[in-house]
Amino acid sequence: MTENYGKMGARDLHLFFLIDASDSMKYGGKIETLNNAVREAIPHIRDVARDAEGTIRVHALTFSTGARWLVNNVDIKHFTWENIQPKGVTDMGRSFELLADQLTTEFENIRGYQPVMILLSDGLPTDDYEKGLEKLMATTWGKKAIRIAIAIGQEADMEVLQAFIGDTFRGELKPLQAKNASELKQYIRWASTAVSNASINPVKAAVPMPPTADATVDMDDLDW
Amino acid sequence: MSLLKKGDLLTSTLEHYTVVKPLGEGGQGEVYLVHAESGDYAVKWFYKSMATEAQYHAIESLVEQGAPSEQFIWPMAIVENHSEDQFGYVMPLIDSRYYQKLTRFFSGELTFKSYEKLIEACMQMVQSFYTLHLSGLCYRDISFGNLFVNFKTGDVRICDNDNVTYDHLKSVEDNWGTYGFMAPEVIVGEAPPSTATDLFALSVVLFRMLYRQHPLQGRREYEIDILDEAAFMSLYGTRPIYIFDPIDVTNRPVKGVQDIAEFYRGILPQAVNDAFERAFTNGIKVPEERLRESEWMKLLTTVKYSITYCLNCGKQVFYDASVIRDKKEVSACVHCGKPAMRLPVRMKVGEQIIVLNYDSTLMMDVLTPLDMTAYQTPFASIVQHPRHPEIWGLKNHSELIWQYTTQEGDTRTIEKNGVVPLRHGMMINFGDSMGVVRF
Repeated sequence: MTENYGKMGARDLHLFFLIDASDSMKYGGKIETLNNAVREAIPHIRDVARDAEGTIRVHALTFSTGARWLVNNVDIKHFTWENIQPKGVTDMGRSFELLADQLTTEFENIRGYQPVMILLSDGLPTDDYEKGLEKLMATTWGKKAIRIAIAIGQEADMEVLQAFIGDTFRGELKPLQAKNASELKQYIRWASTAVSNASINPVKAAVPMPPTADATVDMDDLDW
Repeated sequence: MSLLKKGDLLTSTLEHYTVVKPLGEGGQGEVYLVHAESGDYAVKWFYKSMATEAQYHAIESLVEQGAPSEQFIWPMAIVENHSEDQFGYVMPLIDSRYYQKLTRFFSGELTFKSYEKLIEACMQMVQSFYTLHLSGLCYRDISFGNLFVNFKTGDVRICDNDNVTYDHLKSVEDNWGTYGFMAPEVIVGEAPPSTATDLFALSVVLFRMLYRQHPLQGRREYEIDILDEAAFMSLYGTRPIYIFDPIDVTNRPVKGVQDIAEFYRGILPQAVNDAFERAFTNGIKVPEERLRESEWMKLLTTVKYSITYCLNCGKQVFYDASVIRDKKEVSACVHCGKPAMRLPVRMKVGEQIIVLNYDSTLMMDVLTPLDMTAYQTPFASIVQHPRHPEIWGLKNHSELIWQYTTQEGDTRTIEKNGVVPLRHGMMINFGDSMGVVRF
């Protein structure tokens, strides 16, 4: 009965992953967990997209020595995840610049929901991250994004991650610290699904709550 | 999903439950499938931060109140486990074999079997919220995410009822709701959610069901690159403009890219367009001007009984005598472009025009369109004469005794299951009202 005789003007949600692929990610199974966690999140992101009028388009880049695109603008329906192989230093700033370049050149006249950007890192940036972040925040899409940061283990620079988050959710959001594989999976799932949903179906005065880790950490669960 | 584990035991005043598996998560808690002796249910288990004393009492009060109608997936009892500070509530399970989220209609994944089923879903929503409001309650967050539909039958289920509250909220400090459905006064913080703000959200839902597009998403929305909070505030709060506002033309649908409402506006009966104009002009700013549920019900009845079929392509179209009178001709079919060859068989009852199709089922709302439950009670159906297929009849499914006069001038009485053979110009006496048939 509902043949379409016009368009609804649906928007897409652009979901960006910025992933630390430096040498240190090799240790303690961090990169394996991350690869696995993103893969596990995919069907749940698809579920969010299924209820949306537009779709969710995924972009992912990694940074180590330099930064590079893994996938660009892929509809979540067709999205598959290739394992990341870590190697090199932590040029986080370069990844911000690379993203800023794409947002400047390829996002002109694009309509969307508030984009979601998820930064995952286990260490300290080895380049001038501030310069990169400044460039990213100078773009409309970077500035208006919902920016989430996930620290993998105890070594990540929380101040840098907080700077990336900036005023997201009216400045109420802190970096999430994943202390083990199960937390990392939970956080990646939350950031890619609950936050995406919050962008597509925004509720006034409600910040989606990150999954709360138990207050007392079982030392056996402390992998990183 | 980690608050409860498979096999966990929960208890209510009714019975014991075993957690089977997680079903979903939301802003306030997680939902699990549970098993009990009397059957399977759903349990919503609140996050620690949400499991407050106030929440406990609110749920308690809803349990005591009881479900306003079968459409509501209502809290049946509070459930607890061994923990001191956490709780949830048990509710009926939505059968996912039949019910799907309404969002799937707008994402294009699912569609209603026919226009009648779409209207049935609208009527069930209208009646459900009417009943809820009648109990002194308001829902607060009517939006697609909370509505489930059986696309084959039009049956509706309404979930997330733990936000339902008595219609006496005073504070605007904790105003919340889904953008696009929230009334402007809630968004800007001038008034708390209430029955009147529910009526706004309901009008958005109904508009979208009938026109697909959002009533406030025209050019102004289209030209915004990223929809952030500031954009929502302007589009839905401080400067909401109806896409068909008769005076302000700045937010019209955008041709070729965001224009589907134009199509439906062209085919729906004029009375529908007029009602929504009221709802989204005066009704935006002045809560008292919003259409009440009984008005929506009457309008939906009009839409339902104006559905007919194009004689060329067989697709569903709407019959609108006022448009035909104005244009002095029958419009071309919107689907195939050919002119519908002749007017459908129709019957006028009071002010209502009822199109009689080969498969029409009429409900009691034919006689009493303002009665909120009449749409569920069978009244009549169209049947074909078994030996003379050219003769069509109106079969009585009601307890009312009908009367009509035959061509020969005899008066006949028709009881339940009896049939009136239809002919042009005839009158049928339904008791309190008359039906006039035209071919």
